[in-house]
Amino acid sequence: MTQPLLRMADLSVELPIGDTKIDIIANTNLELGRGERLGIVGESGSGKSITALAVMGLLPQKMRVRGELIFDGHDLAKMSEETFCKFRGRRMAMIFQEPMTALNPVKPIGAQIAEGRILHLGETRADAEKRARLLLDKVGLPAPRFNLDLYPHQLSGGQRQRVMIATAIACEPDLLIADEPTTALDVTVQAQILDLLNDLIDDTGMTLMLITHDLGVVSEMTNRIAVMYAGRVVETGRTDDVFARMAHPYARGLFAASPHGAGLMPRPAGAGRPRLTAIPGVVPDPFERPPYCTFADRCGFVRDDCRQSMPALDLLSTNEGIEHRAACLHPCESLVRP
Amino acid sequence: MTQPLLKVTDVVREYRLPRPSIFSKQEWLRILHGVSIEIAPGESLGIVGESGSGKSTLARAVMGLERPQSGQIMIGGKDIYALDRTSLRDARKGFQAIFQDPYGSLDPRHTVRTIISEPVVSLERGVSAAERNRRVAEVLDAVGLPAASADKYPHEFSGGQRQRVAIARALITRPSLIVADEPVSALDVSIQAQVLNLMMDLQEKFGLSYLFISHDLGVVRAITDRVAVIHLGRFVEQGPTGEVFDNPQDPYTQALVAAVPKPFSGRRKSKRQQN
Repeated sequence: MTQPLLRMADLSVELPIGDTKIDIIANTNLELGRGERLGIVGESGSGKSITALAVMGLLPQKMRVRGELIFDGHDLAKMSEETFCKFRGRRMAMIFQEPMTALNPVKPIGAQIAEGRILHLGETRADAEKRARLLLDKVGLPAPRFNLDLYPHQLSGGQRQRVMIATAIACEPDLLIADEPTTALDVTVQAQILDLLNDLIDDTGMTLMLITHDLGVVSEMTNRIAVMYAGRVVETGRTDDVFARMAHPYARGLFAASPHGAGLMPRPAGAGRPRLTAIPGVVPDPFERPPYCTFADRCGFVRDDCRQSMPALDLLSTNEGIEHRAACLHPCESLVRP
Repeated sequence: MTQPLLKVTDVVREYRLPRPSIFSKQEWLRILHGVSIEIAPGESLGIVGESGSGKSTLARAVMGLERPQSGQIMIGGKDIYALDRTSLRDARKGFQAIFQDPYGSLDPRHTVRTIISEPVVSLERGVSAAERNRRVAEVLDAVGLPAASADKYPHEFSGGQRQRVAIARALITRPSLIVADEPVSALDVSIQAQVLNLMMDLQEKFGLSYLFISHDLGVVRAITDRVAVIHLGRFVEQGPTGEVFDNPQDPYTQALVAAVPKPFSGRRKSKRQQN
């Protein structure tokens, strides 16, 4: 196998609080090959956005990265800010959730799209803006309705997200990180934006890291996923394999709790409305994560040994060269759906 | 058929647009183009639509917060916009609201006891403090929060618990109708399921009716009996929830249902599998 584009080896993100340090993300191992599409799924507080910010070098000041974070042979964890600036936006780019706050409200959209090319590729303003015009056409905002001198407030939410995408892909990055790109949008607009992203990635061969809490989005957009819970990857593998088996009880619980899962359940005729399968309890506070399996206290399949040690991310099977792993001592065997 | 609990007839709501100059003609933007719905006692009706479709405007009109330009809103047989102040205050006991943002809708400087007893204080004058406290304990128990929560402040609770506090506040006047405007969209999936289950339990226990407003089709499917799809201020389709979502008739509903990403759909995979 060729060298992966991005490799996290034993990566932790620590936050010092007073004299103690807590790990917001703990011992994460993830690899991302060129042209792959990886989805990261989890609830708020699971550490999925922090993972993305660590890769982008945009972590909050106090947080420190421990372990290896190798991007195309360069260790990002040890890189100086000056060198990082040459990567950020050029080799990797990010699409944020809120197009309203991520775009600059006092700068025309053309200048925001061209900024990266002027800065990273040394293009003149005229060349860069010509390029920005092409990019806007590509993301479905044609001239003359969508001229470069428009401001973000003159656009709708979906149009702004298209501008964000154009900005992100302006320098043809190797890695595109999309952090909840469609969460703020209506479903019909979400479908358009997902189609656009899908086509762009197919055309350019970019690597995608898609962060979302929506199991529907991740299953349609990615070929590999990592499910995160309380700062750890608890299950990873081919998207289809993970969805078919859901070996970790958390992955199973998350699916059953989502209305998607409820829709698949048979509805008894005549009886009252069926309840959703809720996961009891809440995600543990990062300050009070137990030293054993972090999901044990909410798990329906918990056994005595679950409260003894932290389970490793064990190999379950390998399919098409992609390993399916789960961090559970007693992974579920039966298939959710064949 | 029994008398509907809520009957909305031909409601039109317009907003005044800002005038470019004081000499230009006053323009109005019509948000609701004469909508009609009914909810039977104990039934839950979902309103589904995208942003800007008028679903929250409808909720505000039903809550008696914004008078519609024309049309009628009858709750329990009374036209709420025809009532005088005293009778309206009396009628308000019968319908309460739950809002989307569990952070913004609770006053951070009040204890949970003050927040939950507020509707009693303002709507049921003359209820003694002891009686109020008894009812606070009762609704806290109903929403699954410990009685000790009453003396805590909102910041001490998680998002799901805050939404339980908001539900307790809505229940304390023993209403028959609860208008829930996106009550779970700010919550995580596993917490969302807990709150939805709670709302279903309470409905069966107290015989509540819900007007449940959401943009999330999956959530609406889980909790409602009937659904009305709103598009640009008009209902394009109404019917039993399962039927509307499984077999949508209107082109807009069809587009809406088809747009939802689903696991196991196999969509957007065709190109990649050839690689």
